[in-house]
Order: sequence, then C-alpha cells, then structure tokens
Amino acid sequence: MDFFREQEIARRNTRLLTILFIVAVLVLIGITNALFVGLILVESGDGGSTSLTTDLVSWQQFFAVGGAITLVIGAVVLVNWINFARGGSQIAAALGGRLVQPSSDDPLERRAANIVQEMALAANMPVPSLFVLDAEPGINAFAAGTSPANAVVAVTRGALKALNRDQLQGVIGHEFSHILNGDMRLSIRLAAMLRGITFIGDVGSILLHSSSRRRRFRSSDKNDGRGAALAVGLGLYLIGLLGGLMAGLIKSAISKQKEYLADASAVQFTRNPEGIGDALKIIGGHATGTFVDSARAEEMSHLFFGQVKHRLWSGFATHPPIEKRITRIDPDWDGQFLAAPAPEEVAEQATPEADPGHRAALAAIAATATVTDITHASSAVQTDTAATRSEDNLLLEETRDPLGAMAVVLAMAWDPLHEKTQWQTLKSDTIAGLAETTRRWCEPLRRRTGAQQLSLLELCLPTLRGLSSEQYQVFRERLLSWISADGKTVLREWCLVQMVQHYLEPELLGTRPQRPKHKTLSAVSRDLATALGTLAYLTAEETERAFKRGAELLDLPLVLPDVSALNVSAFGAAANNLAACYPLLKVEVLKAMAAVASDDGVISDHELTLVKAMAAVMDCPVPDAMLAAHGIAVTRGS
Amino acid sequence: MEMSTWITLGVIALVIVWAIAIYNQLVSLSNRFQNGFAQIEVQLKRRYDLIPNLVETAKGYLSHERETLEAVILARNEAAAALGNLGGGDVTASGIKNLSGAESALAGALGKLNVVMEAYPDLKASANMQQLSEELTSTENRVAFARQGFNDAVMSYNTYRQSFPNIVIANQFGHAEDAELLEFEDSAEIQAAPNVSFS
Repeated sequence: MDFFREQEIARRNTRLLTILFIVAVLVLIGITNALFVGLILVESGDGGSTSLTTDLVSWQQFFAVGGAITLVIGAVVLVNWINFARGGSQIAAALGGRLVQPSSDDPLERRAANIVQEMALAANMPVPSLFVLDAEPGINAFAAGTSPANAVVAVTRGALKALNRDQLQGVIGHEFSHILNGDMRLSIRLAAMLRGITFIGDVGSILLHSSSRRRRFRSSDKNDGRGAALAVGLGLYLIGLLGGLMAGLIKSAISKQKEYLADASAVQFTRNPEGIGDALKIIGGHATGTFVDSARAEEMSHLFFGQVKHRLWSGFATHPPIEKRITRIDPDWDGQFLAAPAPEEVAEQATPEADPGHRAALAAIAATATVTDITHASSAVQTDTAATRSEDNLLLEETRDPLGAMAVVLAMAWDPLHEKTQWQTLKSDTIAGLAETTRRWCEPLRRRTGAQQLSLLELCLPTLRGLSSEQYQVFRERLLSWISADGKTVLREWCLVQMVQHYLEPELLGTRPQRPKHKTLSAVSRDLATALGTLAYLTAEETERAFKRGAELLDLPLVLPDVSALNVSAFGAAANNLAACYPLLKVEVLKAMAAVASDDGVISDHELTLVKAMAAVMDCPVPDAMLAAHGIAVTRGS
Repeated sequence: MEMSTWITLGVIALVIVWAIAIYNQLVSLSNRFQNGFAQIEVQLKRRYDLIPNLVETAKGYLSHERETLEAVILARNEAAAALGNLGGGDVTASGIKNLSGAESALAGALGKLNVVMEAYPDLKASANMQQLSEELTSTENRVAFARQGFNDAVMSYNTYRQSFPNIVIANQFGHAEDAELLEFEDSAEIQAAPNVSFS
C-alpha cells in the first residue's frame, strides 16, 4: 500500500465533495429565496403583470427577502455549529466513557495508554487523553475534540480484549488521523449546515399545517394568497426533504473518504499495514462487530472507527464496507476474516494480575496502617486488624467510585463541632446518596493519620476527574460550604481545597495555569519568606535554623517573618504569587520547602500536606522523587 | 504618479509580508524537528531508567545468568553516558555516532536477555515481569516512533526549504542548510543480507 498516494487521493476527494456540499447548500438556499419572493409577489396581488416597474421592485424585494432568509438559515447553522462543537472529554463522557489514568492498574488499559503515547510520537502531536467505554462489547474506537488540544481517543472494552498490540496500534493510529486532519471539525460544520437545510423543511411543514388549518376556519378568505402559502409550504417541505437527503448523501460520502484517509494514515504512523488490516479482519469476523449500544452513539457515528449501527442501505453509512477497507490496505486479501483470540487467553491475561496498582495502593495503606497500629498499640488502643483491613478495602473501593470519592473528600473536611451546618448544606442535595455515603466515612477518616488521608485524597482525585463539569461545580460548592461551616479556614482545609482545585479544574473547567511572570526568585522574596516561614513554624523546634536552611538553599537573604504575620490567607497569597514563577524556579522553591520541612530529620503529615498543596498550586506535581532526593521516604506503594 | 507610488509601496509591503510568512513557516518546521530530536532523547532516557528494574526483577530467577545481566547493565550505562554527552544541547555528528553505537550494543544485550528469559517460564509468567515487558515493548516502540517522527519532520522541513521561492528566503535568513536525517552507524550491516549457513 502506497499510503502517501492513498492519502493524497482521499484528501482530493474530500475537497471536491466538500465543495459540492457547500454548492448544494447555497443552491438550496437560493431556491428557498426564489420561493419566498414568489409568495410575496402573489400576495401583493400583481402576480400576472410583467411590466418593467414590477420587475424592478421584485429585484429589490428579492434581495431584501433573500438576505433575511439567508440570515435566518445562517443563524440556525451557527447555533448548531456552536452546539456541536464540544470538547472531546465531554463527548466521551456523554457516550459512557471513563478516563484512563496513565498509572492505570489494568494491564489492558495500560497497554492502550502506552499505545496512545507511541502514536502521539509518530504523529508529532500532543498526547490526547484516553477513555474506555466499559459497557461496550463491540470492537470500536473513536476520536473526539475540535482541535488537537482538546482531543480525546476512546476505545471500547471489546476492542481492548479482542485485539492484540499491533492491531490496537493500527486502530488508535486511525483515530489519530481523525484528530490530526481535523475531521471532527469538518463533520461538525457539515452537520450544522445539514441542520440548516432540514430547518427549511421544518418551516415548510409548519406552513403546510397552518395554511390547511386556516382553510378550515375561514373558507371565504382570499383564495390565491392561501393557495400560494400552501404551495410555498409544500415547496419548502420538498426542499428540506430532498435537499436534506442529497446533502446527507454527500456528507456520508465525505465521511467515507475520511475513513480511507485515516486507514492510510494509520499505516503511515505504524508503518505496519498488517496491524490495522488484521484489526479490520477480526472485526469482520466478530459477532458484535463494531456496533455500539450507547444511546447517544448514533449522533456521533461519524467519529467511530467502524459502523455503529446496522444500515439497510449503505448510501447513508458513515463508513465504507469493511471488505473494501481491507482490500485497500491489503490488495491480496483472500476474503477470510480472522477469529478473535480465544476468550480464555484473554481472561488469563486480564484476571490474575488485574490489580497490581490496587494491591500497591492497598500495600501503601497497610504500610501506613502498621505505623499507626504500633503507635496505637503503645497507647493501649488495640485495633482489630481484620476489621481495619476490610475497612481499608472498602475505603479503596470508595475512592474508585465517583460518588464515593466525593464522599471521602467531604468526610476529610468533616468538623464534629459544626456538623449541623455542614449536613444542612447536603440536605435536599442534587447528588443522590452523597450525604449517606459521606456520613459513613466521617468517623473512620477521623481516625486516620494525615499521611493516610493524603494518600486517600491522591487516590480520589483521579476518580473525580471523571466527573462532568456540572457535577464538579456542584461538588466544589459543597466542599467550600463544608469548609467555611466554622467561619474560618485552617491550613489543612486550605491544602485540601487547593489540591482538589488545581488537580481537577484545568481538565474539568478548562482553567489555564497562570502565565509565568517572575524570572528571578528575588522578585518573590517576600512570598518565599512567608511560605518557608509558615513551614518552619510548623516544624515546632529550631524554627530559625530550618528557615535559614531553606534560605541558604535558595541563596537569598530572607528574613523570618514574625509569627503574627503568618496566617492562612497570607500563605495562600504567597503561594499564588509563587505559582507565577518560571517553571524551573518552581522546582527550586519546592526543593527549599522540602529542605525546611525535613530540617528536623522527619517530615510530619502537616509538612507533607503543605508541600504537596504548594506543588499543586504551582502545577508542579513532581514532589515524590524530589522529596526522596532529600532523603525523605514517602510512604507509598511502589 | 501618486497612484503608481501607492502601487509600488503596496507591492513591496506584500512581498515583505510574504517573506515573513515563509520565514515563520521555516522556523516552525525547524522547531518541530528539533522537538522531535528532544523526544528521542526523552524516550531513550525512559528506556535506560526501565532497564535496571528489569534486571532487578529478573535477578531472582536468573541466578545462573549473571553474565547476561551484567552485560545488559554495562551496555545500559554506556548508552546512558553517550546520551548524557549529547544532552548539553550541542548535537554533533560524532556524538550521535557514539550514541547509536552504544544503542546497538544495548539492543544486542537486551536481545540476548530476552532469549535467556524464554527458558524461564516462571519469570515470564510473573505479573511484575509482564508489566515490565509491556513497558519495555512500549519504550522500544516509542524510540522507533520518535525516530520516525523526527525523520518525517526533517523531511517536511527540507522539502519546504528546498522548494522554489522559499529557498531564496531560506538562504538569506539562516536556514541555508538542510537538516540531517537520523541514520545509524550500522546501516551498512542492516542493509546487507543476513549471512546464514547451515553447515
């Protein structure tokens, strides 16, 4: 397969078809204009006269009416355009997708995430996020997003299971082509224009209905006007119907060309025609094929790797027949589909080590739990280890469920003294079950150490990334009202909120990090003094020495601020200013903070939380390795 | 007179804008392939970081194969050092040659380790090992794809630079030389047909 040539052909065909589509839309709008002008002429009563003056008037009318109609249709197209143009992650979520974390514990997901990164390298593109459609047994995948910046790739669970590495690589390479060539953008525009045409038909059918109703009530009315309205209505209805049909056909032809282009690009990226070829052959032999059950799948059908629903007639199909796609890639194909690998092989791959990350997390909690066990034992508070173990398991399960994760985070902000105000905010809540789940975890979490809470929070955050932006906003509002229930914000609460916000908002609300402003550390020396000072006072003894150590590391003549000048809002302001440093300076700041925190040889929960929160505010999430470099072992599973 | 002056000025302005557009395109293409090179480095580093883990996991099962493991670690260290020398941002031809030499030694040692591991079903079945081998496969792929991406980017830069009006601008403003494709020292070996004897 000469993939560069195939790409060239597909691109040229797409261009021609797109021009054809636009011409068709313009012609349809033109015909509509003519119809309306005809109506006005008939309505004004001199339809029969052909004198020069009426001609002139009709031309003026033609342009006025035509302009108005074109504007209305244009507005309809624009509204739909904006409506369709959503970021990739919203679409993936609407189709039931779940975001795959790079540190996913499922080997199949891990493999897919690796492949996405490989393809990004081959295509010279930023790495899109990967979603999995868990409920779909068919073999399919899609790409969504209007630009490489907000693009996502999603694969069905069926594809993960049935395809081997090379085949999945081909499928994902195909999706990358859709992103790289802006296919999503094009299909949004075409769909919006198509809506403009069908809108003409809608207006026509309304006219038809209203004029037939008018006839029923006022039979003695002026006859020609009504007849003309009826005729125009019928005309518009036909334009909408036939035009929509025609434009729909062209649109699906464009979509098919884009599929050929994407298949050829997949070969370019992987330089391995067998990968995508075999994937298509397996799909051809697979019982559920590429069909996707999700109710919303149909309107997004153009995005998918293969046909989503069965069509009686292939004219409107968004994808070429699978046999044709295979022969384009592999001209010597013998017509035999491949069988998917035997299910037990897949099962064997998937089950035994399905949960290394889960186990690692469990081990982490267990490790910290043993520490508390010892301290508890010494203070004669014997905890039943079996009970805590099962509680650990339950807690971990909660962190993987969006509702549970919200509940756990809220429970961390629980304040027994102002409990009443807090529960009040959860009353009549839009999130069903949140209050009950939160109530279950308040007490158990209170017994946990700060380090354990921190690692639980870190487990919750990736899960919370799967929320929609509306859900997240509701959750944030609840969290903020919980924290302000006692009328003040303590440092611990500040850290909690900052970590939640900085981890989730760039993704969910599209907030952008601050532009770097400060090129040198001396420009922010006051903020540095506040940040290091707060941390130094937390270390209890040897405040002066700890502070000095941080200042020396930064090589700045910092002055330890008075303890009265340090509070949460001062620290927050300082952190925000420090976040506007140039990236390399941020690492220095974090190093200095780690040095101050570890001055007394141990890093307490408070200090760790504070350093982590600072890292989150600075969008500089690399503290583990760095802390390790300072000789601080961070208790966590490998 | 007035008119013709305006027209001349307009034409000059157009030419300047057009030249600026070409220049900017040259800059963005050249940045793209330089970024491509940085990506190769990143992926090589990732690979060197993974290898000690691989060896550590294999050690428990491969006590009889110490030589193989040591060869892998040695090759890894040499390749990492060669990459470190390149890391200063000064990419010279001899540096790249050193790196690709060390790289092929490492690939050889890893290949030998893979063959050895085939003989130890316990090792292959271990969950840790499976995860590591997926990571290694992916890293190998990434190195290859990063190289391929780099060469594709170099190709589009060179094509753009060499085509007609662009080359005039390119030669004047600091894009006078073609970028070099990434080649391997052992390309002669790769191209030669393998020598198989059955005696």
